Amino acid sequence: MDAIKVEDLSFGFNKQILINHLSLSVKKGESIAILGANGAGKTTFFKILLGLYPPLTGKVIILGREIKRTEDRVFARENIAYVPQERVLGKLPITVFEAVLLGRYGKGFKGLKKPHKSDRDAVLVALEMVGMEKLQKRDVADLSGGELQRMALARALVRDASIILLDEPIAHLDKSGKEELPLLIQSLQKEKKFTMVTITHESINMAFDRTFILSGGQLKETTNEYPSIF
Amino acid sequence: MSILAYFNYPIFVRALLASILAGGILSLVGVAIVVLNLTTIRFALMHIALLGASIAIILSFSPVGGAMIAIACGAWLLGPIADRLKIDTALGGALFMTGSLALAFFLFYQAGIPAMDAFDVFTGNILALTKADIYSLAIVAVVVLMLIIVFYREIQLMLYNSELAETLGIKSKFVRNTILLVCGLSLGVAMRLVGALLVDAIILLPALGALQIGTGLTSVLVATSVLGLFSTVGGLLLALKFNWPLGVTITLTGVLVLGIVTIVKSIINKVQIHNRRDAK
Repeated sequence: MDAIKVEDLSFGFNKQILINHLSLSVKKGESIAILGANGAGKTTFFKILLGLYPPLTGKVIILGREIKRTEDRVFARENIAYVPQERVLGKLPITVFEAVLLGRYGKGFKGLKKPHKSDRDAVLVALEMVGMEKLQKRDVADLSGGELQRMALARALVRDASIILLDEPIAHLDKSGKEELPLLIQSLQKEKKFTMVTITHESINMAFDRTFILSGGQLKETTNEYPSIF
Repeated sequence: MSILAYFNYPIFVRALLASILAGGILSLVGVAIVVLNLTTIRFALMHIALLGASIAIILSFSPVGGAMIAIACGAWLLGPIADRLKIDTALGGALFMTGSLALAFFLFYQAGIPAMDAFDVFTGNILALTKADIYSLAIVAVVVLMLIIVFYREIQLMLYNSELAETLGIKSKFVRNTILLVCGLSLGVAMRLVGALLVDAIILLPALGALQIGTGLTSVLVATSVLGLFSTVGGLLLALKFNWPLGVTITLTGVLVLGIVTIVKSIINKVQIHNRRDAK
């Protein structure tokens, strides 16, 4: 069974087609990269996989289940962890621990169901995996770009999901961050054996099972280590 | 007269109760207003209140009641209309503000409403509160507290990162609209205490102070509540003790509390930077 199967998928905003009859299959435990220029529809593609945007045509099948109804979308979110480009958006003070704990939302706690000890333990384990256990009490606003991305990765790990979507993981990182973070991601993927889809618009120091280019709303597999987008 | 002697007067007891409810609980919505950058929204809601009061006067209904209904409707519709027009909520607020103000003046002119009667909803006097005002304050305060207790994590996620909240399954637009509604109702009932122009002392200033000293949502909420109580109850007692004007004294107390918090925080920051340098 494929972890992700997309058949004849189309999607767009305001009559502008971003995803055009796209098909893709990703096996369990596979790590793929999707390269594309800014505005090519990479993040939109992720949001369709998460059930946030309904496709205009085609099917999205996650772990054998077609994502159509509300309960299917809940299923997709339970099995997919999304790692956005982490930025400090608001003015709310929040510690690294609390920000990672939020990753358990919907799995460990929701509404009146409050976080359990197991949720907190999972956060400590995830922080240790990304080497941030000593920064757990630090305010998120005081983190560097690389630390923010590692925190976002920890938040994905606490979801204990079998699929992880990485959205531009090295964008806005300095040179050492661009070298270190991909190595960390790769070692975690090998250890935990989750299915991983990475989207990026820049060269990334990681080995993928397959690499695709998203252009004109369609995916084309490439064997070139440094495809023409760079 | 000693402070204890004031307890023999029902108007003081009502004023104290209102100060506790407003400073201790309604001030909590200020955290959402500041973090989500909804500060311009409150102007829109105040002008919608004016329109509601004008319509209520035409229908021979309570202007305050009309203002509250208008605020509730406006707060609930603001988000969806901004979404439909694909504009920022703050820009939608500007549209609501100018539109409702123009409509209110149109009604003054066409229906011959005495404008000052409608503008009365902008004035407030903590010593003139009725039992109905206290009930309204208590109901809104209970709603605010219940929402925070039940939806603490959802609120935390929304205030931290609404995009992330959406990917985790939170209906972020619904939560935002609920926050707008509760903020609107809180502003509406808080205006009865000090008037529209000084309502920031209750709703915004405690949150601004608390966001400087809190380390997470819980500590920010607790600090907001404490600073809010200092401002409202402290302001009320100071005004009565020195026979100063009430609304102004509550506001100035709020400004003073915020000033003290800002200075203390600035000193702490400098000491921490100094200590870090020494440690290196």
